[in-house]
Amino acid sequence: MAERSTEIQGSLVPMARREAMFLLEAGYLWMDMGQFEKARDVLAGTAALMPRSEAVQIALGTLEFAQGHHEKALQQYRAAQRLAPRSGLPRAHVGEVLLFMGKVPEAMRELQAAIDVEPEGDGAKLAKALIEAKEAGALPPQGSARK
Amino acid sequence: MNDNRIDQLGNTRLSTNMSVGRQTPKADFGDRLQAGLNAAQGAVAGGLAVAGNFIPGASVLSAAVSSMGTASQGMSRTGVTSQYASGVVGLGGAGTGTGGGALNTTVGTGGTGGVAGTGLFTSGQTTGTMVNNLGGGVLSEEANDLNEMLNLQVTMQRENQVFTTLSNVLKTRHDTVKNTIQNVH
Repeated sequence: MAERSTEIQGSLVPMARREAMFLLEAGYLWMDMGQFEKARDVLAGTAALMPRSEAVQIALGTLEFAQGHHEKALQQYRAAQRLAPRSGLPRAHVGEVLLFMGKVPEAMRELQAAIDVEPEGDGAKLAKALIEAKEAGALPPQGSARK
Repeated sequence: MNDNRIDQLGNTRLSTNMSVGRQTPKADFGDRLQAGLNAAQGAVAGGLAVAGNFIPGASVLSAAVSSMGTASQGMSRTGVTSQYASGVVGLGGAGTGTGGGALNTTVGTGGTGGVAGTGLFTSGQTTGTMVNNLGGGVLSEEANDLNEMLNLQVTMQRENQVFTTLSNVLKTRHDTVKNTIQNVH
């Protein structure tokens, strides 16, 4: 088993993985509690500390998505995609938010790309689940306007 | 002479007080249980009244479909879940209110419910027309009831499918977040 690095790569200041995990966990916890401003404070600080991490950008995108700010969520997910172009997860999230925006063809393209890029990854799993939901008629949700 | 007489000693007193009603409210376990059952019975009866007027045999189905709307209202509305919950709200109401038109809509993609439902609806219409031609009004009414029943079943299947797929998405999302945090680098 390969030993993981204990420090975050490319962080602004030396930062241990445990600290990064704690900050991300705190951000997601605030988000799940509906405390979006506190979540934003934590995640924005984490993003400043870890400018090369796509995980923080995905968290910020999820924060916007949770509040229904689909355009901003799309921007954050695209930023994560630029940081990790070989990862399927940002693409899956892009497809998700496009689905909620009513842009179904574009969303399906992104979801399929997420599966193709990393067939066994988390992004592919999320993309498959979203495609199934779309095919079952559960998505896009009622009231999502085609833009 | 007779030793068995009770008033032999002369000290026996008989109480002549009349029994009175209970002064404190009776609230033991049995009473509370009965009150709870009565309340539940009232709630279920309210649900049954929605479709019971239309379909004699489909009351239970109607109650089940109505409960879906209630369940969706009870979902957690914070964070990402609220976004997904928006697609679920209103399913129950649509389910109880839909008539014959519900079967014409596709249920999922390639779902057996959609195919079977459409076929049965068509056959039901044909049966109803034939019976009407023969003057059998009662049979026609039964055929209509059957159609309504099928409508409810199809609606329930659709709701079940929606809930299952959205639940799957939310679970995958949660697992993804967990893995992302654990694998941050």
